[in-house]
Amino acid sequence: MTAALTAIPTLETERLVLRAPQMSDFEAYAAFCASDRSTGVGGPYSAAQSFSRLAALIGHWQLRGYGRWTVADRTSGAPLGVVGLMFPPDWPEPEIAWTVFGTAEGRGIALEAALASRAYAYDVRGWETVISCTMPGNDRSIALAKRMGATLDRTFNHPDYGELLVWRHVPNADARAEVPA
Amino acid sequence: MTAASLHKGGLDTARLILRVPNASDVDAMVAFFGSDHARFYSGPMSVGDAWRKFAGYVGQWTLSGYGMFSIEHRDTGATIGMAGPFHPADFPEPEMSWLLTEPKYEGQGFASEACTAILTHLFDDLGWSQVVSYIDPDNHASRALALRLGAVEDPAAVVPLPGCVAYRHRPGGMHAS
Repeated sequence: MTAALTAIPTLETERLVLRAPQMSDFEAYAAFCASDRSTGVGGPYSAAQSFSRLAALIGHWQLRGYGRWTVADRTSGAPLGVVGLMFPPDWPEPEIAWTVFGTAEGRGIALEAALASRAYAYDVRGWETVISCTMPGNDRSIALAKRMGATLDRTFNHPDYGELLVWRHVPNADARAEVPA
Repeated sequence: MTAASLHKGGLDTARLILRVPNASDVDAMVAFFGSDHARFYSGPMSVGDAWRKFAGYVGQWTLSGYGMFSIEHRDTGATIGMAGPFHPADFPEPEMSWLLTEPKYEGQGFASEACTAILTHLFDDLGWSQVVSYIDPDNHASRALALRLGAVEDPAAVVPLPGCVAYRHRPGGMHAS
């Protein structure tokens, strides 16, 4: 019966596996959503809201043909975050979005996964450009965008999240030559 | 009872294809959730919220192993509704839920045809022994359909939607009604 669902590809990096989100990720994802660390993505959220958000980000793959992955530790398989491509209809453009769960912060995991997502967007999807949106006070995410070589493009006013900073990543033609600082 | 056949990726009825939701359903489902017709489904809501709500219906198939089917009118190819087991995290059990995307699809037996096939699939193919529906007392059409499908009011059920009444479907119900 589920044969008609879009197959979600698996990507591997040096330390990570980016794979299809699944029910076993829910506990870690809900814990992140319930914490103050989720304010950057509009949280905190209840368990019910977290389930709906996880279901929606999975459904995004079926509706757009791309989406966000669960980022897992290559050795242990433990879910460390959710990173990938997203473009709901109330978003200005497709973006690379990242969340890293509390236990995995400070290890460069978001950068490694975001770079893999950007390569997928450019090399596999053939995109010419891609953005990332951050809340103005989210220093950690802003630092990551800059570290990837993105520059501040403009602001975007979202009805639920308020004013967002739109960071434009290096274009496809320049991405392979880009080495993060 | 309308005959249904299981084929790859879906169920067939006399007039409908019941299948896993996909991108071709987006326009109809976003329009539905943005309309007053969706007042029993938390609507109307913004385009972004409608899209995310529909995306959540799709994603539930992966998380739960089952979900709501899209109802496609075979002759026209139009998406006319959704029906099937809906199971958000704050529900104590899956809920047999149904919706038609526009008033013009009502009154023709489409919801009944879809739900009969899906309930048969849940009971006969998946081995479910029963499934509940939570219905707002003001939703006369849905209440009438639940009763026609043989569901019986269950006053002991835990109802996660304030004000709604629980109706429980069982395998023998459709034959008895």
